[in-house]
Amino acid sequence: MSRLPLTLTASDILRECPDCGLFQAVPALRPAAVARCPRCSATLRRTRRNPVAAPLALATTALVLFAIATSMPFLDLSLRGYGRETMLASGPLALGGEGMWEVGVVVLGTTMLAPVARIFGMVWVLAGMRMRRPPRGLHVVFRWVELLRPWSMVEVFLLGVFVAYTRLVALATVHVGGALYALAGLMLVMVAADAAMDP
Amino acid sequence: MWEELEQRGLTAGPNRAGVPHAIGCDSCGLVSHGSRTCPRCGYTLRQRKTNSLNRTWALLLAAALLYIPANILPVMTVISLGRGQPDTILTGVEQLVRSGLWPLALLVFFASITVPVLKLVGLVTMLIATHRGSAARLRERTLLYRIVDSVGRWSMIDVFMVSILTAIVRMGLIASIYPGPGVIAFSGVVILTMLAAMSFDPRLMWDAARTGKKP
Repeated sequence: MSRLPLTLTASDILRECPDCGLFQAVPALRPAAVARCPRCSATLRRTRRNPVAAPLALATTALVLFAIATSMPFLDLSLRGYGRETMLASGPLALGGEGMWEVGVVVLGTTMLAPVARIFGMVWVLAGMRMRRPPRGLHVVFRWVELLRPWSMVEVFLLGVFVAYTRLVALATVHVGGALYALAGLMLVMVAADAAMDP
Repeated sequence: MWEELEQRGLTAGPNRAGVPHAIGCDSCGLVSHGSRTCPRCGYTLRQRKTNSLNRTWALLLAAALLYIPANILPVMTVISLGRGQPDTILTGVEQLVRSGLWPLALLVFFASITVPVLKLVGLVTMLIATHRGSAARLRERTLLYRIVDSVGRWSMIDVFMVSILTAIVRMGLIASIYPGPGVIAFSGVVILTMLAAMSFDPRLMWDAARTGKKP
């Protein structure tokens, strides 16, 4: 078990480990470095090379991709003359139509509302920080961006699409719409934006 | 020697790294003392997550009860050429195996069956160890907490699959897919276990090990 230094230098910051509760001094880190808890190896801080501009660019891209993902066709199915087109929001709507509005709300929240709220929040906070007179309340917005992180499930949804797709091709002809490509891009860009930030 | 005494709970001294009543903010990480809200981000300060053990137990119990209908009831009914066939979580995996999609079957099995069980068993283990004040394998248990906390969302794959299939396969008797009641229970399990993992405070395991008794 490590012992804490008795005095902190001006550049040190005191941190409580979120996983084991050990108080410790984290020294000022150079960019792209990681500080871990010596007792339980939780990540205490991870610095980035470009902690504002890079995630801002990625989050703005994500915003554009989200607009495409919601407005273009998602998956089209054709079978013996019957055809059906779906959009990203068709799933939750269909669940609601079957009387399963609870599940519909969960799917809508985790695949559309939480992601778009996070993207908007990130753009707002990161762009706000670069303004000469930053708007008030940025910290509140950023807290929500972090709180919503586990509930934004674009990457999980894409795997669900993949599983659904494999079952559909056994049944009928499936056409992949632009929304799916946009969503795949959105996932990559969002993961990259989260990784580029230094919370 | 003093440290040893302190670790065994034989001294009254605050084991707070020399800063009396210091609290680290759960939201932004700033360490402060003497105020109720974080001076930097305004979040309510608390030594440990509020009522952590009781909340985690309650959420886990609810999740464990819902786990039964989630696996017994069909998550969807597939109608093909007039004949309906109900699908549960497990038969869904079987279908993938029968289609020869082994990697995908393994993935869905892991996400839909292994992960929920891992979360339930893992959190119960951590809770019991905390209540007993166990000091064994603290590092491993903390790592287990991090895994349980981060892997939980992947169980939603099946719910998303049902949502997509319900929306797209609607051709009356030729081919239709309807959601089953199992999907409500299953999404309930996923959300409740996610909330349970969030309300558990892994620091309590370290507190309990230090004092050797229930926090």
